[in-house]
Amino acid sequence: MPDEPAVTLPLAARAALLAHPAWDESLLAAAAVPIRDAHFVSIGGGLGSFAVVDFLRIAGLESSRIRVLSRHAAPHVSFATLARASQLRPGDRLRSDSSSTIDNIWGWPGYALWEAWTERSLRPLWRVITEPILSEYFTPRARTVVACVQREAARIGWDEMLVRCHADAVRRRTGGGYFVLARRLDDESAFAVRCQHAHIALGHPGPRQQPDVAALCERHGACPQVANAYEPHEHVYRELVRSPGRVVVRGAGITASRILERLTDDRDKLGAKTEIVHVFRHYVAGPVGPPWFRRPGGDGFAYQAFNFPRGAGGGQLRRRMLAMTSEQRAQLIASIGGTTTARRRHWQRQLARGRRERWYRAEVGQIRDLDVDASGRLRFALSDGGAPARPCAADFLIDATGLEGAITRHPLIADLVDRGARLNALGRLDVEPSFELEAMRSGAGRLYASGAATLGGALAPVDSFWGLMHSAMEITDDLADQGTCEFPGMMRSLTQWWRWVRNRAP
Amino acid sequence: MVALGEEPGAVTMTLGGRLQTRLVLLSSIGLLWTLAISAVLPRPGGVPVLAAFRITLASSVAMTVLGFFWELLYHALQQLRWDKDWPPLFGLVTGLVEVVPVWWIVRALDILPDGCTALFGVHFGTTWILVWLITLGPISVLQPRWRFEGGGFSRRPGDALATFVVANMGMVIALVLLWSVW
Repeated sequence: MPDEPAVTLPLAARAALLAHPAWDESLLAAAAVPIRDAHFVSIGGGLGSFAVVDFLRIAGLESSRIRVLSRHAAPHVSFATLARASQLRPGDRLRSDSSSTIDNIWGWPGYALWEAWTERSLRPLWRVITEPILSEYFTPRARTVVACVQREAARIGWDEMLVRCHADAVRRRTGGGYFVLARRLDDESAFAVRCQHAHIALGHPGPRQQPDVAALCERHGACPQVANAYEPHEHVYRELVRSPGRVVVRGAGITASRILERLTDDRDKLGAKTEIVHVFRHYVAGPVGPPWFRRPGGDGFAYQAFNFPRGAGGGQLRRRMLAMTSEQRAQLIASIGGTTTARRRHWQRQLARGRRERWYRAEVGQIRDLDVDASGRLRFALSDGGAPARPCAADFLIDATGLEGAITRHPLIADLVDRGARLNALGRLDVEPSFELEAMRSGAGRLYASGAATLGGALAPVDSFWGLMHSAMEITDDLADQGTCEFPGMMRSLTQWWRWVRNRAP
Repeated sequence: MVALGEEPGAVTMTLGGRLQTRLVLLSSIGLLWTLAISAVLPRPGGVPVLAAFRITLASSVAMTVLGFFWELLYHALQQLRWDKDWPPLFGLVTGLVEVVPVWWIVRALDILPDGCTALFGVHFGTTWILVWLITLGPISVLQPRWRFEGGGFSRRPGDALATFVVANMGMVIALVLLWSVW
């Protein structure tokens, strides 16, 4: 935007602008906000935006008609940051299957074939054919996904479409379409993008902070004894290697599993003398449910290979959800989702050894009265239902209870809700099966959302590679109906796939 | 959360998707494969090439028609799995079960001359493995929607009839060819 005048919007002017339910060109001109044009705008710039833009490019929408508004320089940045904090090193494996290729809309060749090729090994292929009967699910390495996303981003011209900025608000444009108000990263100057259709994929608002941790931090200021699993907390591991200590792990999901693995590895490889107390709020002692709906479980954990049963991604569970009301979906999502981890042999063995050697123990209950004593140790009480609370002490607490669910912590989404966007029974954005926010339609313009903000719709695993691709496909299909692009039929799909194979621009 | 890439992937079949996939693949790729290899399959001297076509086409049709019943059974068994999926290995080994009634039918039709067991076996086995390999991924290259629709081919759930008609074309061709070589 070198030719645009730099205008920093004063707070009062911004507030006045945001007070209008719909904008037109004269309103923005009066506020001296420069306007640029695009046919389709995606706000977020992470993997959610990437999936949609990738599909649209393959469906024939030119890069000159697309703009991606993002704080990040590349689509994988936010993913890589969160993954690293939750103990996923580049060579570690994700909880995702071979064909959930976020960089390849066709899912074939999958990550297993890619890994077999790059590592000159038949093992990935054997696993993908025999999973999950004779072997565990094949899951790709974090670095494979990042490398593939980088390749595809370059192929579709991501950098040409990228506008680095903070996106503040989406408003209906009088006469149809939308305006997106944004601020440049460098000088905070405001500009607006006028578009026909818009899409938002902002991801999670951030790590969830439990009330007891929040209260503790309020009393004592920064509290390094308490760490959130989704934020950098390397100091905890360093300290535990340096001197023996007791660590409390709270949570029973895949991130808790990874943290337990890291703590055990540090014991085995670096000689740490860590004692692990694992606190389960809901202890799962065994399989739960009737024979036709029984989820495996044991040792406190509920087990499933992925965060939702596979049938929720496109199979019969999704069929059922399509026909459900928002409340019914919320109920089903609670029973098929929730906190689960993968049953991996390596983890099973580590924890079995920990129980035997008494450096790992599971506790059932809730942590209460969390505080820090004069010596800097954490003090708390463990209470389980009616039983009297037991006092405990520990050196560290690692909180792996998940990410923030309140999507209105995103100012842009809160503003949308104020302007009429509906919420579903789970308190997320209410989207159609096409991922459109129907209540926000503006003339011929449509507003879409995908990712974590849309949980509770007809697709359960929205916040996954598969879900992002699935929603990208539905959005592209809906836009094809509006004449924006051509949904890939057999011939287009084949020719575009061949271009993908040869790494040629779509 | 997406940072950990947690997700159910691959295709997980719905009942409609199972039936469509069986019909479409066997009556397109399966049929082409059958036509391509029938003449070169190992057969004893004295058995005419038409007899080979008769065997392979009859078992192709039987594989498809009986498949409808098998798919109902597989769908019922799938209900016992928490993931409501059908792992790739199941798709491969069910061929060992399905070959039995097809064999009975071909025997009952009295179109199998002595010494043609290998012909039958090679045709059934290769067709089965080919179709199975295609469902493991390549099919999505032609139909990106397929894996997101539980194995269905329709663009929208309501378009199933059109798909059914198109998918049946291959089967009609197979039946006409079979009739003409009878």
